[in-house]
Amino acid sequence: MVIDGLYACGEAACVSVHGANRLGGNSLLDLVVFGRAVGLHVKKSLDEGFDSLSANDTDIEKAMVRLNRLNNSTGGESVAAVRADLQRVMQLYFGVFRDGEAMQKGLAQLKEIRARVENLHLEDKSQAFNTARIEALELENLLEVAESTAIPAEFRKESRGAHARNDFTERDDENWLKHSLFHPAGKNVTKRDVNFAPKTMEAFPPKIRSY
Amino acid sequence: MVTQITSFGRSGLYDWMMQRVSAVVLSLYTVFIIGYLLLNPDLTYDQWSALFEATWMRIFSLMVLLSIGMHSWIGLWSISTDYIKATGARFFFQSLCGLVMFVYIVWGVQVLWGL
Amino acid sequence: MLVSIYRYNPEVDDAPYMQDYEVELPEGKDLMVLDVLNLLKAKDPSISYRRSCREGVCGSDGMNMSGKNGLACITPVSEAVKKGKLVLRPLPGLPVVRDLVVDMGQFYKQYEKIRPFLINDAPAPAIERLQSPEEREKLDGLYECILCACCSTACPSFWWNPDKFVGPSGLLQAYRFLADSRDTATQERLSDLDDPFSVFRCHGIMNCVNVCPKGLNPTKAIGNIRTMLLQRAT
Repeated sequence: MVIDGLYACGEAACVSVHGANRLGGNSLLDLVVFGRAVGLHVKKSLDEGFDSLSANDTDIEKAMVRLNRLNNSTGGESVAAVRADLQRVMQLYFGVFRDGEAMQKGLAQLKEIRARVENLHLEDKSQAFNTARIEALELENLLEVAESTAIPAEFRKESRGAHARNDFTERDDENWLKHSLFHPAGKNVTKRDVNFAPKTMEAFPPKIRSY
Repeated sequence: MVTQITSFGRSGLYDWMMQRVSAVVLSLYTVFIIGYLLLNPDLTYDQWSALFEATWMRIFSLMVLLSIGMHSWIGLWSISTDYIKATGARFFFQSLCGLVMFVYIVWGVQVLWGL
Repeated sequence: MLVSIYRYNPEVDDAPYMQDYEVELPEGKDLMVLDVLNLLKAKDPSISYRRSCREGVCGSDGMNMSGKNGLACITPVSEAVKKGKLVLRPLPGLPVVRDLVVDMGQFYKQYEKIRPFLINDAPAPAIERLQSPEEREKLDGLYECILCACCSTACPSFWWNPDKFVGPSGLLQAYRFLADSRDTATQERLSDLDDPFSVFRCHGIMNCVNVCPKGLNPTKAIGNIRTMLLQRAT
């Protein structure tokens, strides 16, 4: 469903400027080109006018659930402790060099952390520049990012660019020249085709990376 | 651009320059007087009086008096705008300084020219 | 190690107070002050402070450490400890929002006042506005400012008149545009600075140079502004 007024650019948009992978620095091209395109489109939309969906009370209630739970918490996990454990799990099982067995172990531990994060305790409930609340909310966000990194990492059974696996050391263009799409609702991964038909240029055919 | 009506001159740069120019004048006069006193250990009243009768000395002394006026007005203005936060008190202080400066200058002219 | 932190929560405290903490430092490591703050916050989550990059480029965690302004993330504890104690206070002179967090409003206002953007109404060329390497070198030591406010909040003249004296940071940025060969509003910029307050409250105290975490020299830049003003007015 296309939502008027909601834009994405960079890797999140999967427009495949750099194929299904990107390393540090590539994002500049994506952001500059498509960021500019977004900006121009925003201006056009504002000038022409568009139908925007307005949030109803249920939507707002849903969005406030996280904040309300923290503000009403009376006990539970320490934010700093859970965060330290999350850092340890990601560093240990989803680092630079990965392998299936370790990632499986890591995924199990992430499930435990998920349970703990649902039960975080916000000790400081004040309103004046409360950074404890921000850190608690950000820990929940960190776990979302961690899951969307870890689950697709285990799912992709090949090595490609920065995703280096000791158990699948080669690049597998036949099965895996695809975008991985992570669905946070079901915590599952699907594949999507890479765009090999750019409109104004010839597609650059993938080659083996060798030096 | 911050508006100012009680500073000395027509711009911040002017005040900055006059502070330094007057400082040079004051230093020269100080060195001169100290030098004169050191070089004339058995100074008599007549000698001292004769020195201030010379036109060049009167002009020099007047220049120094005016320099003291400028230098202290700029300096005290600086201090009062830093430390006296109540507008009324600050305005009063600055007016007082200006008045005292004026009195000294008029009195100084009187003394120098024996009026 | 004893750490004494300035605490103030306007919702519950009538007045600020210093709270003491004991922290166990790991052996053989020289932590940064920010690391120590993070350790303390894990125990007492109510301590508030700003931080982001943890590598001295964002300028968020400017604070006064044992009497000297600096960035907590790049100040080693060994440098900041005085007589076995680490005292953390917010940047001096600015209103305190909470604990080590200050209201940067006045600081930003002075920065905006000097118009920190290129003014060149000539039509934009097809490529960049060109500049020789010598012209570009004039901007070194000026563009690197990260707006951390360590300098301005260390300056007594800024303490006494934060609304009128632009302050070392603002003036460094003012000079950055005065010195930029691509800027055409030099005369207007200088005219705006010519009153007794904006530039001339600088008495060469040089606290700013002493504390700048990026090694910049606002006093020198201010001297250059004075020279430019003098050149056009004598």
